[in-house]
Amino acid sequence: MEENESQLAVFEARIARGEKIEPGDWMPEEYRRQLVRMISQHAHSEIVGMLPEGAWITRAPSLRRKMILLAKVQDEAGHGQYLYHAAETLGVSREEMIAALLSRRAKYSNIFNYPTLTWADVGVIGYLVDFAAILNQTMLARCSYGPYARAMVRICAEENFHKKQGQDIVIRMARGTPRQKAMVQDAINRWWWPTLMMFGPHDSDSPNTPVLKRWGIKTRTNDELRQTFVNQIAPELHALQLTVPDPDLRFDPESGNWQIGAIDWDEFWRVINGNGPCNQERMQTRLTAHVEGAWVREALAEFSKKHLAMG
Amino acid sequence: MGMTDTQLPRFQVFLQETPDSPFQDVGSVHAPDAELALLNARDVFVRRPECSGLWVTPVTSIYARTDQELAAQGGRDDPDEAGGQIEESYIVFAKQKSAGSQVMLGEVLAASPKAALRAALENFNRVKAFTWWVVPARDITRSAPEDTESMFAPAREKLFRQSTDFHTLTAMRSLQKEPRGLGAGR
Amino acid sequence: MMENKARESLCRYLLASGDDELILGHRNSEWCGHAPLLEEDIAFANLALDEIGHAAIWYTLLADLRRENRDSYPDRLVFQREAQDFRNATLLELPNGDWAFSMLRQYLFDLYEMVRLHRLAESAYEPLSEAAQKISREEFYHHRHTSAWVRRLGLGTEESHRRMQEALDRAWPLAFQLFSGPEVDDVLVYSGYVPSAGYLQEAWSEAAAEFLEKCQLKVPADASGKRIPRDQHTPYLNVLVDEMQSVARLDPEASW
Repeated sequence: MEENESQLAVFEARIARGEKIEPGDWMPEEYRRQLVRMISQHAHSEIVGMLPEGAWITRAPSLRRKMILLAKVQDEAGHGQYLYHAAETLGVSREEMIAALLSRRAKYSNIFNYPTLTWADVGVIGYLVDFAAILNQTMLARCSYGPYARAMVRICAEENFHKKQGQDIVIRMARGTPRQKAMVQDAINRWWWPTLMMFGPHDSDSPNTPVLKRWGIKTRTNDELRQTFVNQIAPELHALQLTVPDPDLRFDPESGNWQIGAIDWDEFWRVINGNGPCNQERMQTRLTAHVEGAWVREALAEFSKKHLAMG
Repeated sequence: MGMTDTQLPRFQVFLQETPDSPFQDVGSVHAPDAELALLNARDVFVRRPECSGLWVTPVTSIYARTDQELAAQGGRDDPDEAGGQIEESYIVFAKQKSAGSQVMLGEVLAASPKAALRAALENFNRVKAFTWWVVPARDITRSAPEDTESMFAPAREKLFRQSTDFHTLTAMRSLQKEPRGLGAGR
Repeated sequence: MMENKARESLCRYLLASGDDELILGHRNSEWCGHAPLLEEDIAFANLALDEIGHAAIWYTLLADLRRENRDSYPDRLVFQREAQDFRNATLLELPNGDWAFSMLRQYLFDLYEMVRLHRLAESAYEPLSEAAQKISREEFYHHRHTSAWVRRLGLGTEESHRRMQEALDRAWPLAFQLFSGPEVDDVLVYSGYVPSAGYLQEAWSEAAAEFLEKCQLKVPADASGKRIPRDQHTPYLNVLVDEMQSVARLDPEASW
């Protein structure tokens, strides 16, 4: 017990000095556990996130948009890869993480349980959802765990393109034909609140935050990030003649912040617990691919055995 | 979505940005074998321009020691129990920056991973590193120079992947002529 | 100065080339999120991305020849043509089927591109030779990827082998349509713009048969022969084109 206490002190001192913790270094079990949970959830989100947007590649309305969306989805798969590998350095296998996802034990970001109903949704996801992700990820790039921080730096560099291409679509549509304007406004109306919920519960309802901050896993709170998001996006939407579906949204000159109305957390919990519009569908898609892909994986393993000396 | 690659081994990936820069660890990929690992590594890690060389090695081929572990052993590693006699080339990587990753320092000749690490610590004795890796050169699968054209060059041409290809800032600036603090809703 | 006859033939050739890449790229993009391995989601997205890019290149050359606007003409070709006006090979419009079929089809196409582009790089029509050189860099990588997979699936388990053989039996006869059609006119060959279909077909089938045999896959005996015109399509293409054009057609005046 004493040994653990002194190890913990050394560990926390390293973090306070801004050092990175690497695979093989001593770490509290709770630190490892929290990171595995966070990283795998993040990885699952990237992978599941490919589905709502991937569905629109075939219908992208120009060659350029088609290529951009393909590049984006490719990035997301790549990000999932980086993250699974970062989690694997903590001693959990990809197989275990996937099994947890498919059996609904593991979570992924709730935002991907909502359907993409129109082409405008593709733009709004890039603009709003990916911007929210960037805010979160920029913070995580300073995380104390080396492999996760490095993965986040890589991801952040690529994510900026995601947000911009989405914003480009939204700008184009907002200034386009009446039909396009209506389509994009409808998409904003459906995605605004779910995006705000991406930042997680209010600080007052987030018991994990203090220890995550002490261990350098989180450096900003949920509400702080959410406020940064609203302050940036609300005026931009207004400049595009788009409205935000929040009758209580108002600018407070004293704080310089845009105040929002009350978030409906009941909906959040309903969706995250599996009763959202797409939860079933997303998991079914994954499960199907898993099952149908079994013969492929077996073939690869067999080939390795028979034809390659795998030392 | 198929992400189940249950038995596939893991390969560490090292990337060289320009012909003059050192190879560095960028992460890992799962693949059934080295050839597919190299191709997968290219797809995962080389979507944007900066790459002129790629290496992959099974993670099991990496012998790693942290600064902390070496300090606990008095700055040296355990002696080998049964030393091999034949020396071969080992590539040495070290993590010198706290936020950085393993960067190639050079090569040493040794008869075992532990001997290679000892040789590395001696040869690169001025280097202060957080972690040391040694990998047998024969376990590394490398992209060939002639691969540069087909594997890496295409990334340079896909400009739309760069966020600079989207002029959203200009578009927004031209729209935002009103001062901030406009009030609610509209 | 190009004669009208040669110009018309070259236009048809470019249209067919663009349509091949577009339709196959579209099919490949359907695997996104559904591939048997996460790595292949990325790989197939990469294939699709490259192919759509190649289609854009061919359509742009076509725009130049027809003196149309380079920026808008390719999209018009893709989003405003009726399905019956597409000139892709039928093999490429078929649904993805299982992983074996998609991979085998991809291999046959990648090999075709390697053989074709190699010769096209020497085309007497400079824009064509430049485009071919650029595209062949990416095709080289595609071929490397798909041949590695065909080998592993062909030599893997009994099941993977069976699926690959079935895929080959189905795809091989259809693949010959890649070489046929009035698009590959004598006038183009004579002018040194494109290689002869006969030469390509032979080089391709020889290389394919040799490689596939090493993967223990038997090439069907009866094959070539029929020159199926490229204006004949299956109902699958109608469904594909409808979906592909669905958003663009919502508002043809709109800029997306």
